[in-house]
Amino acid sequence: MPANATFNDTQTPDSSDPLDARNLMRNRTYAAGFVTDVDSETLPPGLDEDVVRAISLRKNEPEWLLEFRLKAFRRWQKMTEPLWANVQYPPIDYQSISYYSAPKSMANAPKSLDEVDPKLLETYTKLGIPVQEQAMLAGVAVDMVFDSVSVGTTFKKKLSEAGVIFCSISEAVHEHPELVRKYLGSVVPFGDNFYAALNSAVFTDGSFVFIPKGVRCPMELSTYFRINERNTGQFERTLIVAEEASHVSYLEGCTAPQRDENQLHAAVVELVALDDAEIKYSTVQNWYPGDENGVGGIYNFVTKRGDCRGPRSKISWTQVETGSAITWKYPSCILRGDDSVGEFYSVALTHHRQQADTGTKMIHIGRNTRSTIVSKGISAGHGQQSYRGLVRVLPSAEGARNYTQCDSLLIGDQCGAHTFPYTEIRNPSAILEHEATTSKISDDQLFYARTRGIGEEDAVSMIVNGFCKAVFKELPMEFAVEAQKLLQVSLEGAVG
Amino acid sequence: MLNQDAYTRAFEALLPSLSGSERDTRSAQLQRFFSAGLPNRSIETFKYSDFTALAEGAFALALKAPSPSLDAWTLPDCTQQLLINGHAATPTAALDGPISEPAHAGLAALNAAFATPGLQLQLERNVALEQPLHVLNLSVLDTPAKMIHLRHRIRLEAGASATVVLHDIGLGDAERWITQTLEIDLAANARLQLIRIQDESAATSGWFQATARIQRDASIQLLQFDFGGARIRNDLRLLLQGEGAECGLHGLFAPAGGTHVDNHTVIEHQAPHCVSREFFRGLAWDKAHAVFNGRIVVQPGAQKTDSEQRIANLVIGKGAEINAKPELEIHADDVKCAHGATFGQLDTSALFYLRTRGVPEATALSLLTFSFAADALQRISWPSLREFVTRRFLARMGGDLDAGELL
Repeated sequence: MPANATFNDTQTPDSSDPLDARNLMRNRTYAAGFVTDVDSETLPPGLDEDVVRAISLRKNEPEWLLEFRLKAFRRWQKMTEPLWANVQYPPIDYQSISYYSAPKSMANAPKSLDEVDPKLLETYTKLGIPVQEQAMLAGVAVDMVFDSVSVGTTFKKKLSEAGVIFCSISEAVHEHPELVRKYLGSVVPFGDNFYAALNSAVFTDGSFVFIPKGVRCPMELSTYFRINERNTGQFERTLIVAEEASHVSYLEGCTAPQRDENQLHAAVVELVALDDAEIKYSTVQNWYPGDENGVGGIYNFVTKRGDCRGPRSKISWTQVETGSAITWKYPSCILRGDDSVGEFYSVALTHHRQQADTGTKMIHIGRNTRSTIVSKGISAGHGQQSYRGLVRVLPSAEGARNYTQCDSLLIGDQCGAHTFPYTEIRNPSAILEHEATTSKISDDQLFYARTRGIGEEDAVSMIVNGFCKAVFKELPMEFAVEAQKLLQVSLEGAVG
Repeated sequence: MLNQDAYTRAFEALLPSLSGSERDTRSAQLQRFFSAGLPNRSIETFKYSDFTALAEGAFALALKAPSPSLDAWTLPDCTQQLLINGHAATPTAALDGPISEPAHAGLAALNAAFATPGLQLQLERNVALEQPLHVLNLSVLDTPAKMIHLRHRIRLEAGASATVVLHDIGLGDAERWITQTLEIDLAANARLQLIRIQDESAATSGWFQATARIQRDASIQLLQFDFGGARIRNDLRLLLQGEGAECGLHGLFAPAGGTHVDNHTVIEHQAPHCVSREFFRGLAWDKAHAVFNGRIVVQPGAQKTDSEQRIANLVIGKGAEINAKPELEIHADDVKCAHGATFGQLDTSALFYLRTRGVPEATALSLLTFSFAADALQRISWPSLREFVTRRFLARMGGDLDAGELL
């Protein structure tokens, strides 16, 4: 395969080369037929080895990465979709999905804010989002030349001075192949689970962060600043590597609901922390949750895992999950290094017909490893919410320590809250505590707030915020404020 | 592969003792067992317990055996009932009644195809059993590959009350495979204290399923103690079906050697205003493997549910493992549900305190281990049984603690 072949190649393709992109596309066999011109940026729906090769070719990837994708794809074909999660949805037809499309299909994007769903705009206003940004979030096809670009530039300069690499994963494959090759798939192997295998086969983009030895990243990194790579599609791949004694805080997502036409999101995030390094990963996920009756919405099936490879390293996950019709997500820590620390702080909210099955895994391997899990679930309307967590202490993990707390708040009598905490203990010196409670908003608290002249909705929002405080305090400041507002907006109509 | 020939042979040996209609229903159950098979690890509820190792064995039904001396297990002030190798001293007819949804279709069908009636207790309205009923369920086997299947039933009419002890004892070292199902129906205001002591021999694979349906204002206390066996699985399910019903489900599992003990419990709140309490203690010595899965379900409409579940574990052996999962599944909002699980070591400051008082280290460790288990032991309200179980635990633990002094 010519390494530099692109879809825009003007040369006549060598029809004898079976790996040539155009041949690949022409030889496609399934009934949907091949209608899209090869120069187009969108592949027709369907998935087979040719599609995987076409994605790799389109992205001009080296041979080893194609191999990685193909191995993953072959494994994926032999796997069956996991059904153990406590969520219900109609079966997904993996052959009806288009696995590569341009970052944004401008054709069906709204032309101006007037065309955007007024409900969405109302939400933006409540969250206090500037008009320009509203347009971007709603996916209005505007030329995005405003402040953020200049922010992006100054920001990149500062980072490169510190030696931090922060770019898209496709860029990293070309600019820093040795790093990507060394770490990609080392935390989440290509055959890890059904969705991770699918992602490994067809991932299109995502972020790559590398913090060199001894560097404390001078600012919070956020996908938000990488405007051009914002809409990275449904199969994101993120890789963060923190070398010895480095520190990074990474923010993913955005507090505003994003217009998104994709139904299935299967992302993979891998974190690697070497000796004494610290990675803090914060997520605010607010994809389209579907309407009141559960029509539409995103399926968010994500594999996130951090590997505390070195002694005294630390990985901390903080997530606020308010969006998506279905969330299936377990950010995990492998505590390999002695004295390493894993943390998981989560707020998950399900309203209307949303379903969330989320939690974490803490795998204690090294000596004196510690982990903390704080999970807060809020269920309203017909929402169904499950915490599913695993704490595994291996025989080598002398002196391991875990503290788990998962609380659920129920608003309304049609919703559900469930807890499935797995513990597997193989070392006598381990100390673990698990606590869980489920309750509704206390009538007394509500009554007290009402006697002080606070409206019912505000009172509920106050109480819910108090309930989530232990998690919000882990978020970077601006994010925490937005997350609070977001919760308030998401719970609208839940009471009364 | 399931050894269908052997099971078919065992079934043919059973045929002459069956009536015509029973032959048909039981052979249908045997076919159901063949199609469902034995549970393996790919089934979520059997994630840690694999029974497929039993599939290839050529098991035959255990035969009647003469009664050994019962002195070691005879308790004062109670009515004793004896079952040896699944056969009652005076055979009783099986009571009719509902059969609950099984934890595993294959295991339930195997039991239904072969089972003999074990304990069949029915108490009429407002009848109270004056003395506890002590059911000694012995398996006395010297030849390997024998199986015993029992079906028990307890039915208490409105206002009736009883204390029942199901005491499983295994004698002889031969390999055996025992399944038991127990259906319990408690009508309004009935009260039952049921204590099950599982003390099988070290070559026993056992499956025990108890399901209790509890009506309005009735209450049940179920205590489960696991001391023996090789591969043990207990499915205990309490269904609170009437308003104001109460249940307590407590226990102690203390496997040693290479024993595998798996307790799966379900407490289901189907009606409003019910109360449930569940407190388990678990210890694992040597290379033992213990599993505890406690599920609390609150069905839609079961408002004002009050439920609490605590599970405390002590992994003692270097190669031992305990997997615990306290589950909550809640579909109603006005409920009070809490659960907790802990894993820990013995308190080092308590150990230090005892050492400063001149207690040798080994004795101090035994004392603290005993006090950990005592939380479950002291829940037995019948004093002579409490003493018996406590002595059994101390024997299991070893060490030099004097039972007389502790009791």
